[in-house]
Amino acid sequence: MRDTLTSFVIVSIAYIISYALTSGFVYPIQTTLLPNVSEKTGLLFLPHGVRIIAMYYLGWRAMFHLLPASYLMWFLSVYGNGLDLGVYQPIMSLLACYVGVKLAEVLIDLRPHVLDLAAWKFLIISGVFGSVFNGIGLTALQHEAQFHWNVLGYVIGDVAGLFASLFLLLYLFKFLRHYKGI
Amino acid sequence: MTQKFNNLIDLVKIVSEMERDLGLSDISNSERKVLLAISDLENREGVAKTKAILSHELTVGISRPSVFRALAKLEKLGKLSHKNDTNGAYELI
Repeated sequence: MRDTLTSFVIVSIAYIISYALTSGFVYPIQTTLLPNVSEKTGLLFLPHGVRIIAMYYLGWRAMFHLLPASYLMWFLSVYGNGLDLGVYQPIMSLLACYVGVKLAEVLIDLRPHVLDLAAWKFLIISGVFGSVFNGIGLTALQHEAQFHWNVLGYVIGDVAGLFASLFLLLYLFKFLRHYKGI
Repeated sequence: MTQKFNNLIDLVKIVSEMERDLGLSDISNSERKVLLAISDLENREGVAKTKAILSHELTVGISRPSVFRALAKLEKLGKLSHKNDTNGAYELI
């Protein structure tokens, strides 16, 4: 029980921080530099990294760990920032990420010798699959026009966000190694 | 709690591997080989003397000046030091 609670707190805090960074820092820059891109399509969506890493370690349980934080940020985006996001979007995104990780696992299992992957590459592949399903799901949910461009936007944002999350972790651990002796 | 520590350690290892694969590591491949050679010599012979480091199978493809440069850099990074009681020998920190 205690382990579950600890995982829930860590995952929730990570998700909230990454979402806050994205909406408070990335989105304003995106809006300034690329005003024609839909405000619902983040081109660097950091929370995707948190979702994929959580799914990798916690499996299907990660969906339940992430659900409250996902809905909290959905609420703030819709009622705080005025974004038009469907009420089922958080569920769709979490399901898409889980399916993405599972699909990557199945593919690796089918070809274990051919696909001798480093774990970080597996995370990237899972993230790509998850983002494709996420893009298709969200675009269909929103009944948006220009289907392909919207899906592409979601994929770019999610994968870039995953890379950025891993790089942030990389430099965080470097910092801890150098300055804290860890 | 153990599972959480295992997950954290695993995440650190994954990120470290990414760091190495993308060439963003603190130490180069040559420096890593010198470090591994010293570790191997310490395990096998109890001491890693400079002569043995230079002729170790892991460092055989690295030029002599490069090995000495690697030793100096690794010492500066705090990854190894001169062994106090043995002349011309190094130990991992």
